[in-house]
Amino acid sequence: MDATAIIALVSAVIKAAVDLGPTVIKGVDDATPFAKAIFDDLINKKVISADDLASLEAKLAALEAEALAPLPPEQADDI
Amino acid sequence: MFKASFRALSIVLAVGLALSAGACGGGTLGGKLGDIAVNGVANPISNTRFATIESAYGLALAGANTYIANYRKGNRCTVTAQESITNPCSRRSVVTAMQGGIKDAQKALGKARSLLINNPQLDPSELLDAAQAAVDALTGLVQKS
Repeated sequence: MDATAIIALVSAVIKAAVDLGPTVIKGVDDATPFAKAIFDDLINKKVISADDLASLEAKLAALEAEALAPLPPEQADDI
Repeated sequence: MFKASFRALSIVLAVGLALSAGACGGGTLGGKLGDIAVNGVANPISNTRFATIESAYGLALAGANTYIANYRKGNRCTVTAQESITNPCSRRSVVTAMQGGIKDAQKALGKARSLLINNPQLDPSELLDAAQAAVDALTGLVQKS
């Protein structure tokens, strides 16, 4: 993924956060560790520990579980 | 909301500055993945690429989760009440598409991760390309939402 795409993706997260009011803080907080990982990897050349990597992957797993939880029943006027 | 937006903008600027400075590739996040590999020779280039793809997936996932959470809270777009500045709702059709995109990315990343850890001597390019494509597809859904 190139620089333009990464910036566009971070902007998309911000846009989703700004547009959706009360969920904004959680959305940005969820994105922060991943944006930081990209930043640390590319600019700081930081040696990420096994614990840091495990923490990122645990965060991914937690977000996936939230996102993929069953939805409320569909309603007739849903689009 | 302003405080959260300011923090988010700081992240964008930081990532943007980092990338524009030409500090691309050669990171060590992926190298550490190689150090964790149980068998075989570590492949830092592939591992770095994988770690970058996974981090980008995390960003897309955070955005998708925000949109999906909005739907769960009852902010549904309907036939008579579609999205607008005063109605930041979520469409069920987009929510289910995002869930499908997340599952596709999960599978693709899982295959690439498994190969990198268990068979680091093999060429993971095809699986990494597939993982990248799945993450790009999810990214596209988030950006359009």
